[in-house]
Amino acid sequence: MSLLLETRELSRRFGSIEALTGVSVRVAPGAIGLIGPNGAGKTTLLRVLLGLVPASSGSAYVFERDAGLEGIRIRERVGYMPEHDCLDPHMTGIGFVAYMGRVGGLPKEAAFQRAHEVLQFAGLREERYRLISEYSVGMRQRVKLAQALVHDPSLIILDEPTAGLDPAGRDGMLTLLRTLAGRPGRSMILSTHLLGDIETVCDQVVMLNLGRLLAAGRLDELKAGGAGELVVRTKGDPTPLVAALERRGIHARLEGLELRFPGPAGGTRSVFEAARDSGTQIRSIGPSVRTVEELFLKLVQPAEAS
Amino acid sequence: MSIRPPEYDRAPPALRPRSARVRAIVEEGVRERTRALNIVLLAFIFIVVLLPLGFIFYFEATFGSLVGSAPSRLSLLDFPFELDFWMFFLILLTASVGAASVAGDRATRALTLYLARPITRTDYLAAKTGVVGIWVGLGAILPGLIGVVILLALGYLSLPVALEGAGGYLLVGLIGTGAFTGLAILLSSLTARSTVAGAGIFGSLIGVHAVVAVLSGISGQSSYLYLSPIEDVLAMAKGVFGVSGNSLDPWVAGAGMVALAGVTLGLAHELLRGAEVVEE
Amino acid sequence: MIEVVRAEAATKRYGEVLGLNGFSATFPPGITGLIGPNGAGKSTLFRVLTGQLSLDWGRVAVLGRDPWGSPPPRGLIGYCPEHAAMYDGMTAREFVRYLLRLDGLEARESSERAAEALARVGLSGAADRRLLGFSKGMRQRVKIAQAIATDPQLLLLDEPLNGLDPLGRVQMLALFEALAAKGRHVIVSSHVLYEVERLTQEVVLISNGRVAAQGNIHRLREAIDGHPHSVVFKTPDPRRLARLMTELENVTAVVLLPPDGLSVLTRTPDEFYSALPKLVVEQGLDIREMSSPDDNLEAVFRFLTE
Repeated sequence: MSLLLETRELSRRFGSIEALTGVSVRVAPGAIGLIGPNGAGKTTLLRVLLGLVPASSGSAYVFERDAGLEGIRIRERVGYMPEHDCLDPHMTGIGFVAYMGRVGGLPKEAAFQRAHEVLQFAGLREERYRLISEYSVGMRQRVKLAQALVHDPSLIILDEPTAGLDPAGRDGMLTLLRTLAGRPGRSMILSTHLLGDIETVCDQVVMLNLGRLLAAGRLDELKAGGAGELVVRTKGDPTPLVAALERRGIHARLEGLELRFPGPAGGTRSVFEAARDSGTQIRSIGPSVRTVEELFLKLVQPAEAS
Repeated sequence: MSIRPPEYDRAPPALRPRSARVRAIVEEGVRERTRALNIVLLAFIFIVVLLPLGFIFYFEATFGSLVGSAPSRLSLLDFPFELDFWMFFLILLTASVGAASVAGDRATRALTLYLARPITRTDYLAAKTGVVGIWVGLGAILPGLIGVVILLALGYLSLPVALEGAGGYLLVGLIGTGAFTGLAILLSSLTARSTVAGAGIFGSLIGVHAVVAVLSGISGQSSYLYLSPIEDVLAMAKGVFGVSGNSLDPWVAGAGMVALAGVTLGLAHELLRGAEVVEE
Repeated sequence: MIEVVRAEAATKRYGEVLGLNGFSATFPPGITGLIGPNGAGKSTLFRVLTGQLSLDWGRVAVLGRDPWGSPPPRGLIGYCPEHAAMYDGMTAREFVRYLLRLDGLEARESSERAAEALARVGLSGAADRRLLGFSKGMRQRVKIAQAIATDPQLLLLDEPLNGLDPLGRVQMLALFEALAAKGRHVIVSSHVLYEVERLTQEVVLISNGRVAAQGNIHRLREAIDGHPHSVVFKTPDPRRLARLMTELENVTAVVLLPPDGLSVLTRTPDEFYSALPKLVVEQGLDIREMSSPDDNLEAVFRFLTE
């Protein structure tokens, strides 16, 4: 499979500040979480990939095109949803999205047709005919998403798409993002500080810190190699289950609401036995996996200390 | 019957070239300005009614009869430039359509969206220049042309003089439009506040004119007047229509205007190069 | 048990707009999460609790006192508002010191406390830089620093993690936990429910200016046990598990998720989970993983606000 993007020893300086230093990464198509603290170089990386800022040294390729030379060809196939507000309040939702489609190169008719389709997808119905100045935060986020999708890009880049949304709004946006992430032949870069969101949407991550690459790869591979423990959650008080496990020679420790213990040789059966004997409801059981956050903190903190 | 799930994916049509993308911005920009109804009204009243009427009254007052023999003097066509209110109107129009051109996109931060699209910064600036240029051009060129047509129809002008006059209005109007538009685009690129940009455009045109007029009055040096775009337009018009007593060299004035357009647009382009696209 | 905050039918209107509508709740000691949709009245509640707004009807008591009529001494309550303008010309240290001086502290003590608070939020290095150049995450840290600077008994935090990067989020969550461990009380609002869930098990759900639910997250969860619930299994032989599941009376749907997954919809989760250990043991099932997408705070919230 061809690569979605690749950088080779990519560096970018702004005056005396090194925003990116020798970043070499190869990323396959898919849903990619872009993770990094403030000042990690995420923004600069995106700007270089869009062909808006040239590399100081090294090179960057998107869809196997050189970002330094073919920025326009790359941007024809990329949709970008910025974090900040960027909509013209005097236009209607439909008018704005169709207009952005035309600026992206769509013929007028096709632009309107697709604008309707993507707004429908984004969940804006009758409101699309109203002025953007009357929209709520949630509706604006949806228009921002729609304008990034209007030209059916091969790659969408989303910057903090759930910013400012309340729980229901977040839920709706994350559902949309999961749908988008699941499309074959279409890729996504999700840049967000909410690592839990990346966990539920993305299948790959790229982690940056202080302008350098920390890690990149498939999430399931990066997260593998947990402690080999089982994690169990119960309904109500877990202590009877702890005692019942103890009788079977399993030493479980309580961490927050979860029981953790080394996976027994015979799989989970002995745990269910203990649950049956102690009359405890098991609400979830499974091997412990490293969260993206654990992974990130483990990689970042040595770098911070130095 | 086929059932299609509601989705947005559909094979996209072939993309149109960059020129079409620029045209989309120009179309939307020109259309958008019509939403500021006062500008449209102002422009319409001025272009279609006031100036041509002025022509007729002027010629009527000069020659006394609506059905006379055609005087056909080219120099008479310089008269609307002597009306201060045309220049004033042009400055007002430039300030109102030019103020928000780039500043508005900076304020709403839509600039990010433009630059993330498959166009260059130059394309964007060209489109915005087109929007302002079209509106300013309407106010700078159209009244003269309409006036010539009316005067021709009423028999005040002979055809050759009318054609020569139309060419004159076109030439002076185009150069003036270029300079005014360039200035507007530059000032609008400097700030994210449209009102500040508008005041800047208005002030720099009127203000410079006033200062230069005073300076040249005190020193008796008419060459200070080259610094005022308004004086340059007037000097060009005098040259083109062959009016005597021109204190400025129309060629120098014209070259100055062209240079002003070039320098301002070049500076605006440089400013835009530093514009952030994906912000921290 | 002491009550940190007690509200009885608290009502506040702004003209025709309702802020709080008969809001009655008690906030226990320790950390309490306040969650709700945009416009539900969270910020109004915070302003009432800090004595910035008076109620139209009803009563509130904060640490046993009426915040409007007889406000508690300054410095007893720390408040981190969601949106706040700052004096951009000041440095972080000057800003926090200035606010402490307004609270009536002596110059020397203000300086000491400001330095201490800025150190706790990890801003020692940037304390003498002007706020003008601060990123969103750094501003958020300054807001938190001024809230904790007087070492208040009660900390009111309105969306305190907005704009913080992953590292900042973890550090601030740890800070709130440390304060709670020292016996301070914290009321924190957030739209990111999994972060609330990490911090506390006590939540108040506010919707339309009223309390939609309050109490322990687990008890809230159990309250929705009477409603249909889906459970996802991973097992080497999902078809056999599917056959067994269809025989259970309270199971209404079974969906195979190849290669090794199975999703089960049950009408009565409580019964289902009670019967499960016995079934697993007797049938010798090999359950590798079991979890429910309906068993988290998001699901509870969705249920209660829909």
